[in-house]
Amino acid sequence: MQEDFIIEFVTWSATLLAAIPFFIFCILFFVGTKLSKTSGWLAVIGASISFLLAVIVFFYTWPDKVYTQSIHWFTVGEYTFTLKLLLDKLSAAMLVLVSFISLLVQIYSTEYMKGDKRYSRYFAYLGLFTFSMFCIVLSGNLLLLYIGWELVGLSSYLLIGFWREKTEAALASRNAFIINRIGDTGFLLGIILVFAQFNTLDLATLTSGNLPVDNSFWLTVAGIGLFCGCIAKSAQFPLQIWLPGAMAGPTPVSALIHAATMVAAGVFLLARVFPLLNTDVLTVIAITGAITAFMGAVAALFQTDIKRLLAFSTISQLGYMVMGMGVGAYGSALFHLFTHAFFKACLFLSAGAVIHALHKVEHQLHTHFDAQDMRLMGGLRKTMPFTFICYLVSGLSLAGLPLFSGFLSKDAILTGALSWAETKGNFLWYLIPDLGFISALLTAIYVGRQLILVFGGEFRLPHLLPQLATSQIAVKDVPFAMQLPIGILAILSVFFFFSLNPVDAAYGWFLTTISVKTAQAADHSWHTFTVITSGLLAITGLALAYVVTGNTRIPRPAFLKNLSLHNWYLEDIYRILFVRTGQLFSKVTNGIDKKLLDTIIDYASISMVVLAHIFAWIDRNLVDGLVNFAAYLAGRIGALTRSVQGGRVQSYFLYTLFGLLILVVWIIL
Amino acid sequence: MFSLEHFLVVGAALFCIGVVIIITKRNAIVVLMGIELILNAANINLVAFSRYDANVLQGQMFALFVIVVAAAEAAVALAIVLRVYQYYQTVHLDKLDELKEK
Repeated sequence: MQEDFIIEFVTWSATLLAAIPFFIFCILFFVGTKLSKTSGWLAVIGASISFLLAVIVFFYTWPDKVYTQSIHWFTVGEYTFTLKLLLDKLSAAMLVLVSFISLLVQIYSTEYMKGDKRYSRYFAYLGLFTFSMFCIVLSGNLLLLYIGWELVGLSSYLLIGFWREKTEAALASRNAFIINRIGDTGFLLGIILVFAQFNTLDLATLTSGNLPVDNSFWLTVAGIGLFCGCIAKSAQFPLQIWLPGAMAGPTPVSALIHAATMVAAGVFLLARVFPLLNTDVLTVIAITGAITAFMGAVAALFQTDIKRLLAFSTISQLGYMVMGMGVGAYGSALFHLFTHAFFKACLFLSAGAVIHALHKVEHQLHTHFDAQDMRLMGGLRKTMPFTFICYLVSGLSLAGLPLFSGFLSKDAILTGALSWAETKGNFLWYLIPDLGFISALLTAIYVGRQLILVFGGEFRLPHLLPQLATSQIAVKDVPFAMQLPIGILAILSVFFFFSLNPVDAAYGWFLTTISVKTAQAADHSWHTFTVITSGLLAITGLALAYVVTGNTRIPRPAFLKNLSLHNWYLEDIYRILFVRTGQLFSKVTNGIDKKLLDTIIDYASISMVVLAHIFAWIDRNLVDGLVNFAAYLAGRIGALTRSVQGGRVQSYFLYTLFGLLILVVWIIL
Repeated sequence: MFSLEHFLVVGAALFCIGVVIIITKRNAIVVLMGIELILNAANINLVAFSRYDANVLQGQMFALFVIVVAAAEAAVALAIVLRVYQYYQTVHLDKLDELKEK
């Protein structure tokens, strides 16, 4: 009895916490303009309730409870689709993460978005996004997960293009949406293949591991299909180009969606379907992840826009997670998802704080400059000390310095990758963890560079705007509503929240529970090596950044710089490969249309007209002639019979008399 | 004395005159007069033939009836003619051609 009650309670709480953001979305979407200022606080209250419920659900679920609840939805043929809720340790942890970061971001946004003319609409979209993310996390079958997946894509589109007056934002949102659609197509195909193979979409059944596999080829294809969804959503090579563009959205959105949650959905999906992925698929995943991690890190090296740099860094870190999944370090990948969510959200929110502060200056000076250009910043450690400290902590965590959470998780992934390469045998497989190590070094370099550019040295903006130096206007640190979320997130970037041992998380509470025993379970022989190497790499990277940044005498390879700034020329390649080809194809088809099809249609219509004329002649002369003749005949007969009815009474009398006479003569004779 | 033929000739003459009047005259009242002539032609025949009747008076009685009916008929017909005149402002029969299809 007690047990039943708990199940009911937990599942209902989970449903409720997912429903609240949707409810808030509905309110704000339809009557938001009337609420204006209060809409932000309404959203924050809703998010707080969601978060509290998530924590309750988490404590009932962690470490190894599984709750399911399903409602009959519809039946197609013999298969019944259900609305199924699946709550296990993975989804419970994700619930807490999503609701927590969503709450912090919404608190932050009340200040950041203040004065925006579509203030309530912004919070409505955030609500929609949170709801769809919960939908992904809680869904117990692939169909429902796919619906949430699409909803996340939609809300991401709405939020990237939130400042739709800016052409850049409008284009970026379209770009993101279209590229996500490409991945979604693969995802959908994967789902269909899975259904064709196993005749079920239920995640619990699919991942139980005792389904008969009769065709491993199709299983591989299905796995690749599912991974396609992850490639687009989690910005993996070759579809990572949408994420830097997505920075056109408001910065809190970048923190929530494009750093902490939505892009993590791809990794979450991989975790959900992990038992379905066979060795071939996992290898593809590992290679893709490693390439992405490396490419992202290189692209981040020379960026000048504070948010774009973080976007490339996100791509790189997502590459780590995907690589972790691919090498079978399932738990480590998820661990990195969580630590990354905290420090990257913190970095984005701090970057937002810097941008916000500079925007204020821009407004007060009635001038215009790029508030996101790091070349104009510098020395902000003095004017924005709180933001600086938080940025430093989360930045070092991203760089993978020991004592910070990023170190723990990155370390776990690299260890997993090394042991995986060892089991593969061939030394070529070591390229994967090597790429990971190189990326770790690059990460430290770009983090150090960014820290120095933004916070170190002298404030460079007065060089551009001399009036700033003479005026009373100064850069001020952001208000409390923005500091609070940054502070909390920065604290959570320190190691002891995840593991008491600062160099090894393997026995920390999180990793021990979330890991699953797989064939390639990470053995710890590599661990010491990884700890030392990655720690050294992080320190070297930071030192390198310190030496190189601002020192113009050290030459920078122009090739590498261009490669980095243009994100490996991927967009140009796609433009030539797909856009140009598409345009060429459409031109050719257009030509065929004009030359061939139009001529055929022209002749066809001409012959139709000629035919019609012939028919018209026949109609006029033959058919109409017959009808007219019949009418004429009837008219003549009518006139003939009518002629006796002259209307003259006397003539009638005469006829009568005449008739009488005939009668008389006939009788007499 | 007058033989039966004389009466019959007079009756036939009257009948013919009546018919001609009905056919040729355009005035409705004159046509009514023609009708009266025809009726009286019949009356003369009735009276003339009643002489050879066993009961003698049958033909004469019938002639009286005809006179009464003719009077009633004349009254009704003249009333109609009056109404026609009021409606059409004419009693010219050629103009009363409402029955004709226009």
